[in-house]
Amino acid sequence: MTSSVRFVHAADLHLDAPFAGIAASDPRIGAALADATYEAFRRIVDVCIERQVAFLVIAGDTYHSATVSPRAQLRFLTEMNRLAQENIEVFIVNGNHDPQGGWSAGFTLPPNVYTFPTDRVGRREVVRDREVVAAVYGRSYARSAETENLSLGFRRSDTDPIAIGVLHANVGGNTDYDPYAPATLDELRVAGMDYWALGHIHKQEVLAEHPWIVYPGSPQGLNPKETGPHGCLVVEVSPGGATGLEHVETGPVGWAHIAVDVSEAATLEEVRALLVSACTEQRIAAGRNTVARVTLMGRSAAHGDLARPGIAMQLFEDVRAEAVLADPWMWLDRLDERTASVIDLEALRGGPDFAAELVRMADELAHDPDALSTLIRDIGAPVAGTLPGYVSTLEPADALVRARDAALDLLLAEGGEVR
Amino acid sequence: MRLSSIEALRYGALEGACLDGISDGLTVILGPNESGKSTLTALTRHVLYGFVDGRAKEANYQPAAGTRAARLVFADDSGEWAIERVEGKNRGPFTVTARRGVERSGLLGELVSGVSEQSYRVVFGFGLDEMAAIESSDSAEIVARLYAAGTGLSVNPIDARRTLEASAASLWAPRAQKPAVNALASGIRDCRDRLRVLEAAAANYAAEQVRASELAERLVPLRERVGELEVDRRTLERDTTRMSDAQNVLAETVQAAADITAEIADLERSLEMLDIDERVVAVAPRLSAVLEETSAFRERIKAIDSFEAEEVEATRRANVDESLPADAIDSVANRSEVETRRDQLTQYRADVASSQRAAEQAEAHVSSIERASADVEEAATPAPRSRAALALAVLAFVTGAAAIAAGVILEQFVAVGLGVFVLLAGIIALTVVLVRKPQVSSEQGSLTAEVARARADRDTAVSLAQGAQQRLDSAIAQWRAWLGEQHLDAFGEDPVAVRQLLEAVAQRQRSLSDARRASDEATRARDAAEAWVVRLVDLMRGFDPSAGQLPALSAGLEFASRARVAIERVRAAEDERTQISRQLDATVVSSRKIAERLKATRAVIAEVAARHGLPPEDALPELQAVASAAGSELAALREELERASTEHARLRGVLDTEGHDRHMALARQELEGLRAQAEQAADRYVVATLAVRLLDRARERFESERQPEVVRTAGRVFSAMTKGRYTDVRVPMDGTGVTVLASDGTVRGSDQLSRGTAEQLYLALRIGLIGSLGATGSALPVLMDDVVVNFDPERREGAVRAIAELAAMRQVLFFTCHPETAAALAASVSGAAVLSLDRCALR
Repeated sequence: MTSSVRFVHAADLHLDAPFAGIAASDPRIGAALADATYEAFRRIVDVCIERQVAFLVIAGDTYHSATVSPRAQLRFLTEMNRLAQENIEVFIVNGNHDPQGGWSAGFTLPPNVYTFPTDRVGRREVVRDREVVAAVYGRSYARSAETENLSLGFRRSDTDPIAIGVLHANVGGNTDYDPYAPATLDELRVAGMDYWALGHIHKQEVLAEHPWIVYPGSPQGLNPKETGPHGCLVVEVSPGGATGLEHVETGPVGWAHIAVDVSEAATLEEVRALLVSACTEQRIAAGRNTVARVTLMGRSAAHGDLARPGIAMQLFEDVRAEAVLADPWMWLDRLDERTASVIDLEALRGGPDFAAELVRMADELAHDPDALSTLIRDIGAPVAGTLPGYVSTLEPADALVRARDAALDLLLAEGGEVR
Repeated sequence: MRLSSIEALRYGALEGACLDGISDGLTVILGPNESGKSTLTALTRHVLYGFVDGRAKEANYQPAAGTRAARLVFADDSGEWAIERVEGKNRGPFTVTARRGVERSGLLGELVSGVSEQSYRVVFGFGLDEMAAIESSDSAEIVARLYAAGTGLSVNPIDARRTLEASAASLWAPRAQKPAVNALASGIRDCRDRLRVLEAAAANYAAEQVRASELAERLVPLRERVGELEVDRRTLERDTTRMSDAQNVLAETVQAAADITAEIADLERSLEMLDIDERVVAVAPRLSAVLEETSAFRERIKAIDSFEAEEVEATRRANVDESLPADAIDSVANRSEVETRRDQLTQYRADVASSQRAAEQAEAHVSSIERASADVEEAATPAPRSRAALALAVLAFVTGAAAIAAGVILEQFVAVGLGVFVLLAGIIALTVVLVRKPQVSSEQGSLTAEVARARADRDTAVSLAQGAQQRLDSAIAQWRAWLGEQHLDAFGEDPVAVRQLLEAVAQRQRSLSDARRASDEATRARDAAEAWVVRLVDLMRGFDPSAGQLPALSAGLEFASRARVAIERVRAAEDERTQISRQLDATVVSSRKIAERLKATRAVIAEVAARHGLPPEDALPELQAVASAAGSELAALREELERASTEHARLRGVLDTEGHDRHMALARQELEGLRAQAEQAADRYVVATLAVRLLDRARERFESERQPEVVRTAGRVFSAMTKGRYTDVRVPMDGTGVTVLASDGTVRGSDQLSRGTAEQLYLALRIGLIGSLGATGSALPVLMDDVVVNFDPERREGAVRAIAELAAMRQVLFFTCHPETAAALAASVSGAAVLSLDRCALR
């Protein structure tokens, strides 16, 4: 009688990935970020050993780049050896970031590690006490931009007590991610698997429960957009489907966006107090090292001071210097100073003067998103000549409001003189 | 507040000139050319803003003599104030003096607040020369700002735009280096270059890894072979050494075996030759014991001599004092009786002396008391002086009493007072004389009794002294009788003689005792010495024939010496025998060991030779040859291993990727950071530029659709002046490129207008601007210097109306040399003042 089998489902380790969009001028933070993906992977292996699982599944993108650094391979090899000592098998598929055939430093992985082929769906049996307890199916990417629907080749054998499918794919057409190995839920269902161990989407997501079709998310958030918990899944599967699914957090560094409304602040001191309070609250709530981006927002009497050159940044760096010394530390990566003057826009909008004309002009542009986007793109286009690859990621409407407020701040500034 | 007079103290051609009578509204100043119209216009501006020096492009109005000084007088309902400026530093210091009302030192600042000098010159005080300047680049700024004021903004949109443009330019500019995006892009390029180098190094990793692996594989058998050879070489070296050592040992051992056999034979012969007297050996322990007492024997011999001499001496001393009869000496055996009698005599003599001293002291005491008694008696007898005193005292007593009585009787109170005084003196004298006597009597009695007691004590002491003398005499008599009985009369009763007797007796007794004791000791010593000689001789008789008879004591030491020689000889022989026996035993043992070593060494040689398949006889040279060959092979292999290991270590160093890759990871992270910062800066650039575009679009629309009041006023004034020939004016926000709309719908630039029409346009613009200023510069007068001179009559009429309209809001001073213009203006405003300026006619 085959009992349940327990394993760890991980994906998108992206070993050696740099943290996109982070400017960590503090060397300690820089080093911690450079090491974060490795630390997350080490924690996954710890989970495997502590929970005494039968095997570990890595559903693609083990490495961040096809040209894997020797360091990444060495660290990976170290962890594989740890699992080998515990007799824990590892089943790997290659994803779009680390397709098979990429550069290798020539390290030989221990025999407990199996990488699925690229030309067909591979099948590996998990044997315990001379009895097959499960079969793991998988297929790797041969190239980065894999557009073929790889799920079509998966078929469960009638003799499998438990069948698990491993695939790096965009299932259901998630538009936030590249449409590699596109597949639908129905296509996965017909394969007859008890559990689909997917990879590619960095946010943990359960697409279906009959059978379980699951993305574990990346073990470590890799950019400011990847907030929230990141880790791996400890899965308990019985014949007929998964019976337990536990998400274990592994990311040593968290991401956060902190929006601080300074409408009520009249002075820089009050703005600083609000900022410190918000950062402390976030840091304590996260309970781990965090990289945070801060947005100061609201129409505030302190806007005039904040808008003076360098003032907001000085205040921000002052708070950052404090936060980085805390335990766990918080690195304040970026300040978005979005405060505005205390202006009654509605009253202004109905007026006869130039400021009113400006507000109305902004309103008109806001109502024509295409024109606004084109305008922004046109403005940003020449910058790409200096900064290759630059495409503004600004939200057009947001950029418009910022531009309008910047102009209004200047137009309505007090102290003008007829000269 | 309004300007009430303009005073030129010293200014240009004017000195001590004053223009007063200025109206609150319109004042027309009519004067011919060179009458001072332009001078007054400039003076007004210079008092308000300061004099200019020779470096200025305009005329500086220096007077023919002295320095410039001028004054403006302003007035309102509350007072009148003169603002006077004189030439000096900082464009000339000024003073504000109240001619009426309270002091207002800040008046000048209030007047010009919000209006710069340039604005004033273009808008408030102008002549034909300045008319077109309103459209020049310098003045366009002023117009723009005035225009901005008309748009309801504190800041001109042009300024806002300029600020935003500067902000955008600080973020990004094409082909620049300093803007943030450009600088960061440069940093990105540098970082990428570094990454490329690091990645290139990483790319070599695989090839180096293969080489390292190959070397590692080659190193394993090489190390194994070296290990084996090491073992072989060590074995060969050990065996060669063993073989060589064994052969050396073999040769040495064979020689040693021969030597030791000869040695054993020599020792055995020596043993046989040894001669030992067994008779001595038999008694040697006891004889040694006796000989150990030789010293005691020698001491005893000395003691015998000593005691015998002592006995002779003591006997001689006892017989020296022949004065003591022998029987007397014997009878005085009990010396204590002599001492008792001697002590008794001594005591009695002391008693006699003591009692005699007591009797003498008692006698002396009696004499002393008796002298004291005689003194007291003498004191008790009254002296003649005492009697005279008594008589005087009685006389004073009586005289005093009589004086008191007479005074009382005669009522003479002075006499009574004197009487009382004399009476009291008499009483005191009587008391002194009469009280002293009883005291002397008492003392005399006491001394008499004491004399009696002293005499009785003296008598007792004399009696006791006599008794003591009697007891002494009795004791002496008894002592003499005893001496006689003892036949010692010669000693008498003298204590010294007695002591000598006693000492002589004691000395003799001691000498006799010493002689007896010395005799006893000599006997005991002789007995012990004789006994020792007997014991010695008894033991020596077995081996020494001369010891057949007992020798005299004096020969004892000689016998002892002979016995000692015999014992020592025997002992020496015995020691030699013991030593030879031990040496013989050791030699036998060594002989056995040598035999064993010989056997073992031969076995080793046979074993080593057999291990290497060599005959035992010639094994060593063969073995040495094999070991040398193995050493050569090992050295060669070691060299090869060293080379391979060095190369492998070098490769491992190269392949120490952890440090290298960490640099790469950090560089990637840095690159990401730079890119993030650059993109953020680029986004800020986009926002700033978007704001500029927004301003441009708003301005464009505002200029076309929503001309401000200032422009509308100018348009209306211009239309009125031109009698509808032109219907509107358009002024861009930057003040440049003013256009007019003709009644036929055409738009013309100012450069397309005739001079007169253009001047009308500029006048209209000024009127519009001044009208829009509100409270700004409200007290500043507008000074126009013949600005309508080029207007045709029809348009001059329109201009006059416009000026009249302006004069309803602001104080206007219109200078003209044309009477008709002056008349038209005066006629257009009710209450207008008309002042005439004759050349040099200013007051």
